[in-house]
Amino acid sequence: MKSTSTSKKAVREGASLSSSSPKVIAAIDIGATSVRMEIAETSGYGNRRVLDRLVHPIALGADTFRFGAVRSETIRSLCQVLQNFQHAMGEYEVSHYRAVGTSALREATNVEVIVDRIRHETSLDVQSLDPVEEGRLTYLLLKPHFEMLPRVRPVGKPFLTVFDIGGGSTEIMVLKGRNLILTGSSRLGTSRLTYQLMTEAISATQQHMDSMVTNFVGAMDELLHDYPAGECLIINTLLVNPKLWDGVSPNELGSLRVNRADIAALGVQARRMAPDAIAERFDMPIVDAELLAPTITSLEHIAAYVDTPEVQLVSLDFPSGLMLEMETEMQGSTLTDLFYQQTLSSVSGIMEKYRVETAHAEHVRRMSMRLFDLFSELLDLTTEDRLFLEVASMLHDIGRFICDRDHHKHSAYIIRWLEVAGLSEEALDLVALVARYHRKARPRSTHADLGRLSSQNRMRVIKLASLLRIADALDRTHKQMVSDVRIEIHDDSVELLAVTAGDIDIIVAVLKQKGAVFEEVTGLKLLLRKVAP
Amino acid sequence: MSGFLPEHFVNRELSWLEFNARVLAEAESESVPLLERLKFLAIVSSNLDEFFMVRVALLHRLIASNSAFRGPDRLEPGVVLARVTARVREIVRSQYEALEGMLVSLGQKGMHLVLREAFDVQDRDFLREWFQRELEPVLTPLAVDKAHPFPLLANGGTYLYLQTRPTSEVERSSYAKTDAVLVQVPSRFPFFVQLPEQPGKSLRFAMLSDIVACFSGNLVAGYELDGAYAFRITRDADLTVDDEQSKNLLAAIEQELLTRRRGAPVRMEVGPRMPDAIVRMLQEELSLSDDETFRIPSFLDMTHLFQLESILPAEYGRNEPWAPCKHPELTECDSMMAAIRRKDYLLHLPYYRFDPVTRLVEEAADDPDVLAIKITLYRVSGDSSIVGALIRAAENGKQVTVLVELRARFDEQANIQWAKKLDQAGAHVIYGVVGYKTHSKALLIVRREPDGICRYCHLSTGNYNDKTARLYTDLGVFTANPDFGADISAFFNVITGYSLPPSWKRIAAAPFGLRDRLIALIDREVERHTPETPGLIRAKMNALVDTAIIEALYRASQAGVRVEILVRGMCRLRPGIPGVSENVRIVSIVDRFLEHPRICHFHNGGNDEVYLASADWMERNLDDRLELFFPLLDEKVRAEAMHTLDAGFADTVKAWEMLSDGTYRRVVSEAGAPVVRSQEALYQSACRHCARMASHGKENATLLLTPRQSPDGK
Repeated sequence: MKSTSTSKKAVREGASLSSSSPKVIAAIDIGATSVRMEIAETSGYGNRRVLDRLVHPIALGADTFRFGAVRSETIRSLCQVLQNFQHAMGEYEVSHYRAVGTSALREATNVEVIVDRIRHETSLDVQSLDPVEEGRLTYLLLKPHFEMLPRVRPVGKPFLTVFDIGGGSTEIMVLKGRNLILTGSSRLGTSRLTYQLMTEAISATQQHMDSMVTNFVGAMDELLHDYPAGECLIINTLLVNPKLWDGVSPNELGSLRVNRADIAALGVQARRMAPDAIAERFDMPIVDAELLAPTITSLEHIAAYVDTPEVQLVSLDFPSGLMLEMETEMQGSTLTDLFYQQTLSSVSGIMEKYRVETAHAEHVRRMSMRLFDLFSELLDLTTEDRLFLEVASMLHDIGRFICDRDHHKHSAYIIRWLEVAGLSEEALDLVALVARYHRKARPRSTHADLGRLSSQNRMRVIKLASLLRIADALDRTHKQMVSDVRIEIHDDSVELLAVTAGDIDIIVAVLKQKGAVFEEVTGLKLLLRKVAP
Repeated sequence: MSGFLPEHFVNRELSWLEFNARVLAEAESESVPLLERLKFLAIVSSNLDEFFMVRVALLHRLIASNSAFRGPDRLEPGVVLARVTARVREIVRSQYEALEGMLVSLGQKGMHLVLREAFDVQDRDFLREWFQRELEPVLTPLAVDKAHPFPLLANGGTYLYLQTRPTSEVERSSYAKTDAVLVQVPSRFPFFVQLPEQPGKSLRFAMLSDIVACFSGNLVAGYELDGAYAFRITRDADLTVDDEQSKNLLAAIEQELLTRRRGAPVRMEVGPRMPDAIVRMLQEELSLSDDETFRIPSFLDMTHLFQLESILPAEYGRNEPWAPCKHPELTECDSMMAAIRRKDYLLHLPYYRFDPVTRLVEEAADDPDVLAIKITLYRVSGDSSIVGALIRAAENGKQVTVLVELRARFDEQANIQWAKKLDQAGAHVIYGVVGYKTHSKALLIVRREPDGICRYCHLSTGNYNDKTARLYTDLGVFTANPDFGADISAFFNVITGYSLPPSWKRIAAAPFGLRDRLIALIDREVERHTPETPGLIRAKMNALVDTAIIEALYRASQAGVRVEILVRGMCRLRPGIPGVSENVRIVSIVDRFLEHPRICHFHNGGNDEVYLASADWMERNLDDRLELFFPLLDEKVRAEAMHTLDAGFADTVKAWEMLSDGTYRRVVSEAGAPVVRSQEALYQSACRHCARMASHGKENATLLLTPRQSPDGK
């Protein structure tokens, strides 16, 4: 979130404003076919009044997905649009803003140049949005839509699948109830399709498009075959246009419910028409019209794959998600906090998929959380660290899916390649290392994976691993004998009080080896004492 | 297909001429004061000039290009042109007859127009001296002979064809070729020049064309004057700036102003005495035929009567002044914005002063909490205090956005100057929108207040022009309703090219579906029409031309919905056709103020809705212009606007009813029924409002009582 330079004007002489006055904030979303901005007045989280919404078509995705980079003239147009937006921000003396670009910007090979040109020409700071944060925002914006879906799913199909059909990729989420249990990504992107077909100059474009989409959707099966969907939700702004669908009216959130026959009919029509005819017929910008055929074809294939009679089409107002985030930050918390539960629920889905021994994992998680809360001050740890430790403790044994021997190493690379809602690649890397050090060798900088981290992150891994090792030791027998743990801190030692009716000898023995990391980090000797429940 | 036939539609050019005939009828009317009648005569001429430059020129283009374009009446352009010409000849004949009568009346009051033949010695001495001192230096004779190309003649300028005869000296020289010279009657001088007083004749005037004719004998050395004959050319002046190609619209317009002079001639008016041979010669040179040639019985270009009207004293007969009322609440309030924040206000021009609009902009310019001001300026008058306030606001650091429409026909020069001034002051000036003329009239003020941003709007049917605000009837609403704030803010984002159009909360806009919205409202009236609550559509506008809307109105009439429309000018709808438009009534009002508001009222099953708009129901407005259409949400404001319609339909003095053949007849009050002149009634109602406010304080100040017309509450 940035403060605008124009905000200085707000304290101009004569302006009579109390500090409790609402703040005017703005959010800009640079997408594949358009740039959007929302300007709103906020008095706290969710308490917002929209002042202006601006949409300007610009085909960034056409460049990124066709040439790899965004061409100079497109950057120039983008800067012009952003200059106009900045002017509009000035009209309300916007105090804070956030400007982000999604896949079309992120995947452009010249993303740094684009961001720099924008900063130079408009002084706006644009951030290329991390896919994970994009996912978090998407979930946040989807929540109200879940309430509008039919409550009852067909027997045997308990899941809700969400496909976010974008220009460069299709993001997939599987939910059970309202909990996110799985996320994934497919290279099915509508701009990508359109422009790949253009460059390949294929005469039988339509057949080719069909086969490409078939392949992409087929590949999704790997991710989805264990999660039969009784309901399907499609995120795509282009499709949520009542002009495309005869006799379908939007619900109160503006989303549309269409059936397979409607989709097929529109598919036939869209593939038969030239983009300019589509633009004319449906009254849409040409950059959108070009994408209609691949988008509707993708939808047809997805709907056929999921095999639901109807799908819900949703358009997400991304700027408004950014605003929720800004409001959260203004209150001093972060979106990670808001999303904590979704991350954990997505991890539970993964545990199921990799047949992780739930009782042990659950116990280790409980113990490590207890230890975290007891030692977070001593070790100077944050909420984000708590999430990392929690995920690592749930997944520390996931490597047993491959083989028991060296399973900590298998755990590390599986975790690294997972998609966990709310965790970036960088975060997963840290979680993977924490899990990797739950047993065997102590963390060393000479280990390549640890060595390449910043010293700060290296310390985080070591501290979190030190706690995970203790938690794991407490359930060495996999029988969940210790019901709770307390501590007593002395001058030069920490005494763990294990609440158990059982024998702790084996734990004491294991801790001798596994507790060493903790002792090294804190400089305190680790002792264990049994306490009767 | 619509199922309506070509004969269900009136030709628009012919309909327009009928409007001009109604203006002429005001000039002919004995009940109108003499000087006002002079002014109406001048208006008829200035209207005709524009009609020839634009509409007749278009007909010529259609004919020349063999275009297949036809209006819904399906008439061939050649047929239309022939009918137009015939009707124009009738109108011009009546116009000059009226002038003759008026000159007699003026003479009775002491004003005499002295023709060239009647100059006495004293006059000639006076005029010769004046001619030599003032006129001669600026006259440029243009030779007409075989050796020179025919001179380029200015659009609308009056020329004298001076037939010359060489003196014997020149005859001997080899250059003796010149048959005639042309000299333009200078347009920068007053046309009517006052002559020295004579006993019993206090005011005597000579005409500039006569003075030039009389003293031009020595303009060309070596020649003698044989005769002087006036003529005047009107040219094709339609502005067709190629928007897509023009990189800089501003430059394109300035260029266009020059090329306007070079348009093809579409009309030639010749004075009474010009010999036929000279007429033929001119026709040949200018590629004109008898159809485009108009023999005028007196002086050319009656727009000069504006000058005469302005210099003659009021005793000659002028309208009694109706001083615009001060809007009580909007004059006495401490702050315009505070007042508007409390409730909506309607300002009815010119019955009330325009001041509150100016005051709002001025307050905004100086208010430290105002962040931004946006406005569309279409036709700004020369000394606009609004422009002054906008410049000040920009200098005060506010974000000022001004859309200056450079394509307001025939006003470009004035607008270009203001645009430049605003630009220099740091305002964000937009010179129109490529491909669309900005015709909407909107003002938006963004103000930071303790409870957040508040947006104030003024939305009007008339331009931000303090001059026309005294002559045109218009309605404007002031509101702080947040829905309007959001819509108008979005509208400015659209016209400044910042954003695609959104889905509007309250308003509709052209070219973004305004026609569809109007037709949907008309269709809804049909759906809600029941014997218990019969449908009613009432509207007021300048012109009703759009085919799709007329067809919707026909369908409404066929369904039994009452359709009553006050259309000042062109109307392509034919009322009273059995089975098509029996339930339609079209009334036109031509009076001292130019009727200008666009209002429409839908009975809506008893839940009346009233809208104002900047747009007429014409293709031009709905397809090629940026226009606004907005509901009146406040009950009192809505009642006031409905009262305007009531007054118009009740008029028995200045109203004309359209007949199904496209002609009009004056509405006369039935015996015993009250005589109503709507503009007077509205003015008096404004005066009463002020008086009531003064005597009763502020309670119920805008409560407008509507008498029930029948026992059942209708």
